Amino acid sequence: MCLGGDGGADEARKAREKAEDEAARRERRIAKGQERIEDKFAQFDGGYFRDYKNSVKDYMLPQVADQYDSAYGDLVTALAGRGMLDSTFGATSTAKLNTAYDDEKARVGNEATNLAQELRGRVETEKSNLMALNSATADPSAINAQARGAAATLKTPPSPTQVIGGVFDSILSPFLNYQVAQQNSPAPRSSTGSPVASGAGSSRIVR
Amino acid sequence: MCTGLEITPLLLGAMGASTLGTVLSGMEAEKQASAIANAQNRELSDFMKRNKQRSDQAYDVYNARTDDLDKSAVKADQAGAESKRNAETEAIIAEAPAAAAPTTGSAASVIGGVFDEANSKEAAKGKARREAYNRQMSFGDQWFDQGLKTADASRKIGTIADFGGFDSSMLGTYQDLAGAEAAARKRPSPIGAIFSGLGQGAGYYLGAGGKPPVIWN
Repeated sequence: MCLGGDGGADEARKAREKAEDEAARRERRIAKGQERIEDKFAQFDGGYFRDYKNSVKDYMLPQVADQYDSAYGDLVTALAGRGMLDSTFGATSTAKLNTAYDDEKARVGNEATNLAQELRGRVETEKSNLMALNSATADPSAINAQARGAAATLKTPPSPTQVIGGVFDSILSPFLNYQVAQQNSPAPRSSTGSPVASGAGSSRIVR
Repeated sequence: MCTGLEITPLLLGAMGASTLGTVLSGMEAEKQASAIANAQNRELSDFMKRNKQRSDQAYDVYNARTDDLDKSAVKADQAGAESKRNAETEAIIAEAPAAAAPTTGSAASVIGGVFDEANSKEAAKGKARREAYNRQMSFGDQWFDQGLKTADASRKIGTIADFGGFDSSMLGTYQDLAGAEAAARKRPSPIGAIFSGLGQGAGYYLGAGGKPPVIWN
């Protein structure tokens, strides 16, 4: 039985519907914020990380190539200086140098892959952070600005860990040590005056 | 002569009316309490349904994620990572080939042969070394990919959990409001109170000998 009015039933119903609408709106906002994050992060695809990997290689490989050229020249000079250019030892030494060159290029390739993975990890972390923020704020417009800011930061990838130096030193060191020792020798074995060309090879000087 | 017994039926009537009123009031209160409980249970039931849907969604994501951890999937991932590394390293080596042996003159053909042999031997050792390295790295690559998939699944399940958590935090409010609405729609009828009041009033009246109660100032 009802004696006039609904005793606030309508008010209670409206309040409940409003609370439910608000919850639904919150979910939509979060979903929209996530769409925006996905949209912003779509640029960080396989191509992006491939570009980064290539940029690392482009930075490091020329250094390796330069060092190889220099080491190759030093090796040839040292072998020639010792009269061992056309020798099994010379051929083997050159083969070792070439393998070291290949190894170094492979190392650069692997480092580029590792750095690209590291970068990708950073991107994923940022994405997760933004998703968490999005859920916390449930405000797509604020998250959109944060996503743009984070995306700008991520476009500056980390530099390769180190500049390559002395890659082929271990291969060349015996020859270089020999040259240094010979230069410092109190009784040079040749009269040419050139330390490089004065190796104790099999050549004879005819006076 | 008035013995007082004449009012007994009236007193009994008043008592009956009062009792009936109390019983009716109790029944009405029970109906209201039942309506409140039903409304609140409906909210709880709706919440449980929504929660079940969310749980199913999360479970699907989780299942898809754990499928990636099947032995065959892990093996395939790792093999793929190893092949990729091998292909990349060999491609990078082919990009800038090393120089030939610095042989001269008539010795070129003889030493060239020695060089070729030494070079291929060293190259084979180098390739084996690189492949061993790449195989080692493929374990990490595979787990890196697994980590990416876990991160993705975590984000999805995290969102579902967030929705569920918020819904759960609102459940009390929904139930309170549904209960309030049910309580207002199922207000106890005043008939019980009327009967009770009439019975009690009649009792007072009859007890005072049919006179109106004296109000002392």
